[in-house]
Amino acid sequence: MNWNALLPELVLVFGIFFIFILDLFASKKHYRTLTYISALVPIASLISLLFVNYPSKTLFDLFEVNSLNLLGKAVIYLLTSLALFSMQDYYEKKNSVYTELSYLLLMPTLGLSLLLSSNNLVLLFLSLELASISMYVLVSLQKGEYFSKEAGFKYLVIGAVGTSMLALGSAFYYASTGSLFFKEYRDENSLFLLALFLILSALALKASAVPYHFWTPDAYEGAPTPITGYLSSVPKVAIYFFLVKLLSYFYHLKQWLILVALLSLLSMFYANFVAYTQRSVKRLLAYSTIAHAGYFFLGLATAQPNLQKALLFYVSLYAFASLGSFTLMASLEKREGFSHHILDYRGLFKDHPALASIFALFLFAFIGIPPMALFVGKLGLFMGLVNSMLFPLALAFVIASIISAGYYLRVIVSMFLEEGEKKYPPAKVSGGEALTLMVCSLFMLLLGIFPHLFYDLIKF
Amino acid sequence: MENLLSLAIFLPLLGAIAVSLVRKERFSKMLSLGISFVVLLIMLYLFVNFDWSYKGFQYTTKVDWIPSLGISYHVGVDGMAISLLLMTSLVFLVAFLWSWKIEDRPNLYFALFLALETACLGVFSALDLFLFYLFWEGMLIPMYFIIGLWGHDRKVYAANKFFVYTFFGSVFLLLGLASIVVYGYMMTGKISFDYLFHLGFSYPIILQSIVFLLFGIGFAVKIPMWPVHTWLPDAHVEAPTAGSVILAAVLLKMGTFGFVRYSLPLFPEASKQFIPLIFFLSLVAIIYTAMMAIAQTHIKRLIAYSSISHMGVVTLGTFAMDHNALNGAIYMMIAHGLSSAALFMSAGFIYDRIHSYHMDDLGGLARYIPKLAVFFMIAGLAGIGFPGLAGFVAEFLVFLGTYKSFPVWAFIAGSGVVLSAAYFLYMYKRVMFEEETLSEYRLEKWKHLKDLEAHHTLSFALIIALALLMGIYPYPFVKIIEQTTKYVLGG
Repeated sequence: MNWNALLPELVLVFGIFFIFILDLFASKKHYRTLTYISALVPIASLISLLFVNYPSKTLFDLFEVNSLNLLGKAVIYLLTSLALFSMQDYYEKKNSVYTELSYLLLMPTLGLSLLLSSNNLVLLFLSLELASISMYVLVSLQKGEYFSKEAGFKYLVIGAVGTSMLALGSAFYYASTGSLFFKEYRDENSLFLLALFLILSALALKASAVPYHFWTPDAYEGAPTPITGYLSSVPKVAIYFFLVKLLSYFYHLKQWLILVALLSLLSMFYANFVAYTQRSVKRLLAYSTIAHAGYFFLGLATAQPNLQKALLFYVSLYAFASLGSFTLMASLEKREGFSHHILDYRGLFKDHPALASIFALFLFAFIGIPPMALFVGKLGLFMGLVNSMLFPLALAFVIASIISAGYYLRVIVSMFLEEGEKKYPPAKVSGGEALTLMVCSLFMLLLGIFPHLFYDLIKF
Repeated sequence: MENLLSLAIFLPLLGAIAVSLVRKERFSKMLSLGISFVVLLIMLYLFVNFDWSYKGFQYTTKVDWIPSLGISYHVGVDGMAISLLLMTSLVFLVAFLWSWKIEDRPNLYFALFLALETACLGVFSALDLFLFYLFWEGMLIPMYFIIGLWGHDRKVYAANKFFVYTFFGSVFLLLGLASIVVYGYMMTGKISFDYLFHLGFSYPIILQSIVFLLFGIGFAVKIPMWPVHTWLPDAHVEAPTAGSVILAAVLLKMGTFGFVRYSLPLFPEASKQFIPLIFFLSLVAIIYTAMMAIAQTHIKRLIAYSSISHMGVVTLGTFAMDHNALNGAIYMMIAHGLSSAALFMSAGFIYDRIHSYHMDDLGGLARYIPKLAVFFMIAGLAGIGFPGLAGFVAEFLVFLGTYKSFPVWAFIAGSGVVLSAAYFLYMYKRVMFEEETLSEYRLEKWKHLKDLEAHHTLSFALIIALALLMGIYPYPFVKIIEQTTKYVLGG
């Protein structure tokens, strides 16, 4: 048994147990300390990544470690830690302290970390469920907030559909190949294709691609804002790193290309149009996530190292931008009477020039304006698509991103160019939130100007 | 010495950072003026020392930047670039001078203009496609906020329209850039964004046509060519005076600069193939927008339409595939930069004093603000191509060159240019003369109007001086521009 390969996950598991036991003896006033301790756990896992020998396999070859999924783990640990640092003040101000929250956020990260390494449908199922169930709980865990319960319930119901699709897909996969391991299977038959369709659908549901996106706007809007930040960043990174691995087994199927192209075209056009009708900025960003799912799926169209590199760069940096913007919204929401209606954002620049500028930075990054890092991801996707002779898809991407510019601009307009009517007490940014915002915006600019610092780490 | 160009590009950006950190009004103004003056001196020095007999780019700096993607920091200038840089730095200096008395959020205002100056200088000096695109898009955010924060009534609409149109064009441009970089990668196995690397390729005609169109959309929106010109009148009408000046003088030139720098040398066959299309669009721009200009009663909108009409002459000359015509087109970029800057300054001054841009509210001003009347006249004459001023040399060269191979097109375009005299003189008459149409009340008010102040006069004088110099003694300018023409058209 090769324990070394499981080192980061073991650190997480022990961290969770440790905080769980601490939590039994701690009272509510220790919530902040507990959260900070728990935020250090992913950092410890991040450091432990350095001691993992790769490539290697363990758990009867179910669990595989290579440079790519280690990078994915590093990204999600960092994101989790930032999310934990930023969330405690929100819950305190909202009077909704559950000490369980401190370690509960580590559970989906553990699940997704296992997912990244899983080589087998069973482990995929288990890890995805661990992540999903903890996320259902996190979404609904807010005191006296009806919407959060509703969001959690919707997420649960639609998530369960995804789970059953995955289970059914796995069964078909086993029936057609006689194994639950992923492998390049050239003896195509309709059962195998059905299995592939179901598995891909289940993952697309987690990645919130159209037509499996229905939970996204509701869950994003209803969930406590720091949790929305987590939902829109960590699981996305993990799913795309996993999908890139899946692609290496199935790229030769022509149905794969059709399916992925369809998902991506539907997502980007549907979400970019529907986003225009939104009044709530939180919901608007949920649609932006769906649109981005469309862009990211383009990166899975064919196996082409440059394309996948660009995709992973894009999705990782997107996660930072997304976490950053939701953290910012969380810190605004702590004020009395602030909903995320677009009118509430009017005049933000006048009251809080720094916060408004950082939010504008993230929004411009979503549009894809240089020198923000997401621009490099977009350029990389263009180059990869042209390189794989998928020019029409690249053109669709161009058109979709032009459409998208308008609704991001509306938020910028209301922050900078319009005067607010309501007066709110000044927003107080906690230390943890400031840290998260700083790291995310710094990454956005630094990796936009020197993208190779991260780009060169993505190796196939 | 070698890094003087880079210094000039990034000095304004450093200034912008300093201004936004210090946030003292006096400091912002002094620093902006100082920096833009230093930049102008550097550009003047580079311009004077430019060796027009040397083929190729000068004052180049190349530093590896993102090695794994073949991106380097590569800047350098040719004859066209250095002339445009000189004009740009002059116009920015004038814009800062003009804004000397601004009261509304001056620190942010000057910081944005300084950031904009870096982007504009960068576009003209970049020799790396990635760097070029970075500066090209970099100008979008400062200009968006300049229009949106300091504009007039419909500023939000205009700013959004400007942003969306320009972004529309530049995403296509980005796809075009990606395509040729990938083609280079597929041919040589090396990713490179370097302009000189791509200059050595001859692309297959299919790829040339596709990428020419993709680039063309990007440039055409910026120029702007008919039918994607509709953002410009709105942006100009709503922008603050200095914003309009920069928009007309510098930002519009980026598109035509792109055609000469990128489209012509990289895709020579496709350029020939698309001559009829470009000529058609240029003619429509020259004649149709000039007629639109005649129909306007808003003086800024009129000048905006006249800009589109003049840019039509530039695109006509660019694609005539003739040395004289191309020289004229580049000359026109600079000449139009100067004349449109002066015209927008005049319009802005009138608004400052009378708070209206509408001809119905104006009239008889020549008696009360005579200094402005003089400068306004000279600016307008420079714009319509009056002999002795820069515009004349430009138009003469363009039509001379175009006539050689395309006499019919040149004839139609030439007769279209007559309209420019019509709309300018019409506007001048309505604004400066026609005292008899004014009410007693207005005339009484006009008596208290204050004429140009020192900083206004200085701004006008700088611009007019260069326009005069270029009109009377075009030789060195043409020589320097010819250095570009030679490598673009060969021979």
